[in-house]
Amino acid sequence: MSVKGDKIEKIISRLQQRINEGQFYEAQQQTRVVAARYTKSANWDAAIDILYNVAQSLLKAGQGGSGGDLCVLLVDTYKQAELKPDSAAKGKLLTCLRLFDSDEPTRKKFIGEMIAWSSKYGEYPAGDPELHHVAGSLYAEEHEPYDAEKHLILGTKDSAEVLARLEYEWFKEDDAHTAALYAARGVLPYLLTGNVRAANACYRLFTSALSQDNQSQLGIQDVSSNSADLRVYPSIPLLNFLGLLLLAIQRASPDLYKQLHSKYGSLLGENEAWHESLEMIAEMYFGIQKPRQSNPLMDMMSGLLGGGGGGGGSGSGGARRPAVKAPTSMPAAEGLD
Amino acid sequence: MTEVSFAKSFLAALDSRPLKLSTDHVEDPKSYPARGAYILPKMPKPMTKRKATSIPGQERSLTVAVKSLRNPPLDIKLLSQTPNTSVLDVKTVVSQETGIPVDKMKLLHKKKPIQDSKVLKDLTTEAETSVEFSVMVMGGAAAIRSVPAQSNVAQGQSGGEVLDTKEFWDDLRGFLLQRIRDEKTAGDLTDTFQAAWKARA
Repeated sequence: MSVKGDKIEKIISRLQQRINEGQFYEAQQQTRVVAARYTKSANWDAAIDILYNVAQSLLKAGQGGSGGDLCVLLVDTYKQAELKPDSAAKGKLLTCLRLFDSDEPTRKKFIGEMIAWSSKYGEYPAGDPELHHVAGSLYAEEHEPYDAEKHLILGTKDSAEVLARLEYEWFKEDDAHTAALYAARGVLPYLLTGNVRAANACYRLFTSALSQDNQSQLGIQDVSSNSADLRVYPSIPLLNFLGLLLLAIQRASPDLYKQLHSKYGSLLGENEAWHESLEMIAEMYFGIQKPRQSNPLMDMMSGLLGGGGGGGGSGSGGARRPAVKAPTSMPAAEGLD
Repeated sequence: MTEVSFAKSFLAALDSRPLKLSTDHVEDPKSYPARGAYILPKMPKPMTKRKATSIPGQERSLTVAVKSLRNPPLDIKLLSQTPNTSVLDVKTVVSQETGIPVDKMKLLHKKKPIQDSKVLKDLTTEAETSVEFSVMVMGGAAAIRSVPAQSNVAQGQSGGEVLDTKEFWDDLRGFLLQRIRDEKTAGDLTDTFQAAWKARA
């Protein structure tokens, strides 16, 4: 290792020298050529070492375009090497990722590629949770809520807190009565992913921040029974709907859901954005069949095609809307615990 | 019905139903289908962008101390690390200095093991300027490969032998030239030194 390592180190410092001299394009091109040579001879460690180090130097020199290009090539090399997403392999990518400027366009591609790699060679078909968490946290810091949501929903145990804080920050820019719309952006998608714990965490963190900031105006009232407690916000009914929904989910009883839905029916009717997710939640957690407008044969076909043809990097982009098939299997699994 | 009275009656209705699902329930993320997450439709108001808060060079810098409580004794300080330095980065530096392989090393922060992907700012508050880790070496001191003897690389010849090499005198000529800025004088001086040294030997 050390003998070979010296040679690689020399190559790397020669390329870094180019960067110091300001010859960014040359450094990038030469790195591509050298890396390709090692890739061809399946010397993955060397290729990865070179790409990883030069990409970092370029990014640190503010060369997001060429640095990003080498980062994407690094993931590509991982794929060719069929590298598993262990902590060292992921760590290299994340170190690079953190060096990007927020407005660098290749960063999004890099994130997409790394998720696709982890999805193909790792144990998580939707992408490695740690990678999602870090990418989502970066977006959250930069106030890019939609990108942050996409990743944090599939993140780690720590993600719910980051997302709740982001949604709350966002809500603070809006009127007080809209609180539930922002809280739901964390709660409902987590429920749709089958992550009840994160949905509860999100609701708890969001509402406690809200109560803390507006102690006096909200007229909060605590309601409790033998088994459950709820903080009721008389002026924000849809926030109570979410709280009650989370409690009802623990009981999985369809009539409770129907009762809840009819109480808040008119408000929910005005709130177009929740329709689709609430229908899916009703089906997943309460076994209430979603009214179908589409042709059942078409559904079956798309289910088959979606299930079988997922060979490529369908992890990023593509159809975001969960097929009805996947959620229906969930109540069975829930019976296990 | 008011919000409060509805909530009361709903909670009472809940009490009579059996618990089916824990509040901590999580589907195995390994079973998530290979597609992106579902998120709610866009909001009418976009979130205000955050201006880049940290201008490079103005970021706060952190001192990292890495200590080990057991064998092998370690006390490494890393100065001026950025808040984005990851735990893996710290491990890599420690590995270079100690020869402990990265995968045999666990870093603990406040006695808790931390993941490689965490960065320093995840572990500190805005006000803190230092982070302390303790190291655990899996498999004890035996896991450490010998640190390559770097002294060999750097030193080469030493003592009187150096003066027998052409390189030394060329180096000296170079230095004198740089200092005097006159090629002839520098050359003469070098020759004088060299001749005097040889005569002495």
